[in-house]
Amino acid sequence: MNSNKLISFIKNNRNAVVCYGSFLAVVLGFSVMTKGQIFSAYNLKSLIGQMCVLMIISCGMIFMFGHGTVDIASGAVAGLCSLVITLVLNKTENLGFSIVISIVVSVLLYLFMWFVTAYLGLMSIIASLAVMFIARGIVTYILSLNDGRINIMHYNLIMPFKSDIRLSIAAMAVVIIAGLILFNYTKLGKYCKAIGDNKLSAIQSGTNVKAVMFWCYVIAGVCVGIASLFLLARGGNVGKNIGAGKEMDVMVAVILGGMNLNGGAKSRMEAAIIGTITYTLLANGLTVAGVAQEYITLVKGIIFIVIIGLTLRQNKTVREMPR
Amino acid sequence: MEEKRKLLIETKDLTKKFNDVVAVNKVSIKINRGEILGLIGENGSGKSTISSMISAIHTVTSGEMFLDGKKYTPSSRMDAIDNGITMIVQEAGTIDGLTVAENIFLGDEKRFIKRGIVDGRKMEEEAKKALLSIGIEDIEPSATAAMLSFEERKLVEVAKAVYYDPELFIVDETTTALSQHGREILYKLIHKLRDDNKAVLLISHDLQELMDNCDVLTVLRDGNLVETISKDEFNEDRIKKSMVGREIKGDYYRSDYDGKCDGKVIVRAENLESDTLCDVSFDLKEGQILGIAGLSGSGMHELGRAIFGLEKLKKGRVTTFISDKESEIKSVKDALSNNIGYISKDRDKEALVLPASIKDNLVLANLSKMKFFITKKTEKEFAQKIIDDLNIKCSSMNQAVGELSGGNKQKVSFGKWIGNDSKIIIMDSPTRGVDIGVKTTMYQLITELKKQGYAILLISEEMQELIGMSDEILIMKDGAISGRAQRSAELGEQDIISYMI
Amino acid sequence: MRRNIFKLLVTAALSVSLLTGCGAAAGNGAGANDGAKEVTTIAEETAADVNEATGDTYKIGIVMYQWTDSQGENIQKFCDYLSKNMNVSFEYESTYYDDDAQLDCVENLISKGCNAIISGYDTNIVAALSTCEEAGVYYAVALDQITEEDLAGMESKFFVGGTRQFGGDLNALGEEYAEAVADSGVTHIGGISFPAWAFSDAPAIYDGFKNKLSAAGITVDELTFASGMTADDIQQNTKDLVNATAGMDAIFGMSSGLDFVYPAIQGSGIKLIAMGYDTSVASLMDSGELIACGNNNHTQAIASCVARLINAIEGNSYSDSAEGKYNEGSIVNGVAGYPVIKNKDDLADYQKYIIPDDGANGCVTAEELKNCIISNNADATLEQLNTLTNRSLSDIAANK
Repeated sequence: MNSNKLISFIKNNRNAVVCYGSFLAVVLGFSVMTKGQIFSAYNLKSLIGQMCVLMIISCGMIFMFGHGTVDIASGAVAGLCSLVITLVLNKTENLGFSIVISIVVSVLLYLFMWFVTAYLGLMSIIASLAVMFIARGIVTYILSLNDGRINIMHYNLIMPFKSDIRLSIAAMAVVIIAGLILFNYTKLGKYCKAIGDNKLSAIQSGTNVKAVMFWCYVIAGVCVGIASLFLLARGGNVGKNIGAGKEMDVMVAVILGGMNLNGGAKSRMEAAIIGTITYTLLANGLTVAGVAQEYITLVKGIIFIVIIGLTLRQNKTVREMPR
Repeated sequence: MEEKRKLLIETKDLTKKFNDVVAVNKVSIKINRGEILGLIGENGSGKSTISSMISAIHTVTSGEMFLDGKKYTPSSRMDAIDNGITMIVQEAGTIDGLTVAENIFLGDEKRFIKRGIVDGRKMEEEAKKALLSIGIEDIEPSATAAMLSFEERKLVEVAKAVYYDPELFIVDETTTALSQHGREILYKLIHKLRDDNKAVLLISHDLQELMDNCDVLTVLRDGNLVETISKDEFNEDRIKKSMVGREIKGDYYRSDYDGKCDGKVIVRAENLESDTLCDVSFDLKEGQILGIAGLSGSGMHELGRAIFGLEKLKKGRVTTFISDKESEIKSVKDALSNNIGYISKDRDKEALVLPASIKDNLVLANLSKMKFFITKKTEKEFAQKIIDDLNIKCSSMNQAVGELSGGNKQKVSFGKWIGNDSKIIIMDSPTRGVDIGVKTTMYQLITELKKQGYAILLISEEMQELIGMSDEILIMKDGAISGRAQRSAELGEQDIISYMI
Repeated sequence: MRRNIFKLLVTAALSVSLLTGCGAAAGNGAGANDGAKEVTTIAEETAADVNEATGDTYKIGIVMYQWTDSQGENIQKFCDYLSKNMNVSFEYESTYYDDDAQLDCVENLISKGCNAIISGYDTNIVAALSTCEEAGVYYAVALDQITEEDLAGMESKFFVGGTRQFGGDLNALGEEYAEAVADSGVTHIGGISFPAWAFSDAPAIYDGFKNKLSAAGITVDELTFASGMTADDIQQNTKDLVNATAGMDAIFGMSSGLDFVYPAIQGSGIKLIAMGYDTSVASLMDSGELIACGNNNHTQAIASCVARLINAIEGNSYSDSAEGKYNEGSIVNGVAGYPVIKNKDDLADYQKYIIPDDGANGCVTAEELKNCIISNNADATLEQLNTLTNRSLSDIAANK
């Protein structure tokens, strides 16, 4: 009887089980494999720095995935924003101003996506594809005028965002807490999930879909704008690949966290939080555990398939349902 | 006659479990050739599950089935069709992007392949024949399914099912989706099949329909077979009683015949015109149940949408008078802020968010009246009150609405609007696909709402329901109001139908 | 309820680990202000466990784009050889071409207890360097020279410099290629390179090549720069160039000649002079399609970095390091050669010495390298190291 209960508990909470299960598995697995080395003070500090960018973007993206938009522009927009911060910083040496400009640029790009999706009726993924190309194109063009790389003339201004993990922790804490509150305890989050599940029904229940999407895009934009600062601080300069592929990292991370990319009621902010930690730990732990480079991709692939396979099974009706 | 009927299908101790829940418990029935067997029972009584096992949609947990005396274990739906068993169901069974002909011959295209290419014209000719054989003339085989109305699509499915010369034709709660016209076609068809010595299994909530059409009725309750009644023993009260296992009182609908309403006008529709509506005007008063009757395509559903601000109006205006404040309804937002609630006909696709919990669904319509920050406690208290008030049966308020039975789903969609202080509720086909037990509760609820001063616009395809519940009935035809009927004991279906056609 | 307990446990585990991290961070932040000495403790702390086990061994981490290509395999082979014959061991990390991951890799290697880090490229050098400085770990760049501009004003005693490629003399490299072409009978040569911003050394190499051949009466066109970095870009640009130039009978493919340029001219009768090396060289030389090719000497590059890093770890520095031949302002650069393969004999030497199966036969042996490390040889100089790691193919062969 007890084991039956456990099985049905696992079945009903598969998302959470995958989310925390893979997290615990990775934590425990690596603490054994590395003989506790991943918990060394230095490595914990590194981990926090390594997960910061991904964490901030992922939290923002939950609002996008939650209402059913698969955004693939986040990496490119983050890259462009890093470039913007660098250019403004090199001109004005004013850190605050450059951050504000970065957030503004990011939010504007996201609002462009919102406009195209909400008013021109284009599929949201196409809009984000377009923005991805625009942002990537601008970065490539400006860099090609500058020997392929732009250095930050006053790296010391922005270096604390890399070296002082109190800043990383503070930024993550603010984003996580704001995300948890907004997504779980406000109208915005509830409308967002309803749209993800059933737009028609959401409309008939009084959801102003355009307005809700507006705010979701703004939140995503703000998060990407903030994350760009940390991305740049960790990069130290702007190269042509800056931010490339971050959108995929975000997706893998939230899937590891048990998120369904179609959004809806099962969307959880925890997916971004735990997923990001698991994802970062995985990359870090494999190296620290001394897995040979030749096998790392393979091992990562196997772990992803196992974990994602577990998550995806929830979408199919495994059990027969009465008609 | 009786002796000639030959046994086609027999089930012995047929049982189906979904996880731990027994849906069908050791049911043994016999379906004879040349016979229309009706299955009746409340929602969750196991009717659909039995038919689904016969047509191989569901697997069998235990028990046996025999077809023509031989053991029958279908492996797939195609296998069932090959054995001469076809079925049409309540939900849509056509694919929007395909043409009518392609839908009819889906999975069987190889018959029309000539030199590696599907011969579209031949397929359409054959489809036309299939449609004509059940008496449908106005559906073009080359039209895409998406262009057809729901009823027409259902009829395409019927044509498909019958085309394959079924030995057993199962009609699973399909008639609720059909207008009178569509039903006539279906009735004619099943009678013809019976006369051709085939068997028909008819599943419906509509007792009158079953009594009119079936030769034998099997009553199910909670997955158990209660009794099998032959035609000469049909008696409405007896059947109802055996279905619910308790006495159903006479006042199934409202018991009074007082159609007078002295309440203030709370909604006024003036000269509404849209793509389907044509100069529609009416007043809805506090404490009034205003029924809207019509055939599908008459604009009755669009009228409901228009009052809720969902339909684009070319002319005219909808005005509400809440607490003597006059406001025009131009959007859903206006409707909500002026206390209008709307229950769509398509409960699963429009009215409810199926994957979300009961709590989330109930809270959703009320969000605009809540503060920006919403604590778990607020949500819980809000949802619990409605669940208690409406007696929604669920394992917890966190259960997904999609897991509930039809009746409880509908209670949730009622609850959404009752909970958010709506004064005006538009109900489009509120009892569609709901069993008698729940219907009774619904009618009691609607009557209660009326007493509390709610203004109710009741749109329905079920004539009896409108006559039984409404203070006044507006009958629609071709987008306009073609007649009005006041509540009275003498009002009959014929009085209304005459305005509809 | 059960779920809540579960959550609580996980959250607790998380908070604990975060708190420990915080504590360390605070300590580290304070240390950074007091100077490098105190900071080093963290790296030493983590390194200590490892060093106990392996004795007095220096652990050097290497970051590359990937390890599964021939470059990565050759470097690993050489490192294996060194770790068996010297008191060093190696840890490997790859960015998989994601520049943003450079810092992650550096941090992970420090976590593994590395005392020094070699980066293949000058990716994110400022950020990586500041991380190394905080951890008291030395940093060298193996396959790029570093200029003051690259460091953007950053100074660090933990940076032991970059490594100049192409033998440190671009013009000479161009001339060496020209020698191989001069007698081959071709009369009209074009050139294609990666975009100028991506391969800034190309014009200087090409100038040496062009001037020498022009003097010998062979027509050499101006260098064409490709419009992008991908194989498609290069091939399209190569085809366009061939079509636009009548009478061209050879092309200097400076943009990954064998992989990217050759497919575009295959079967056209145009001969290839390539920067790059792969296993097809022997057959292409036999068929006469390939006149010459060449490759960076990764062994020399890594050897140069290892010697400089060990000196730095041991607190030594070359007496002549400030006036090194390949330095860029205040930045010390080592050097690595670029063997040019002009014929089958060169090819045999290349395979024998540059990419040997046994490092003892290689272009830099452990004994030779030890001799450049100050703790072994107090008289060792940077010039001596640079000479060792910049020997040409013929010098190496002659030395064996």
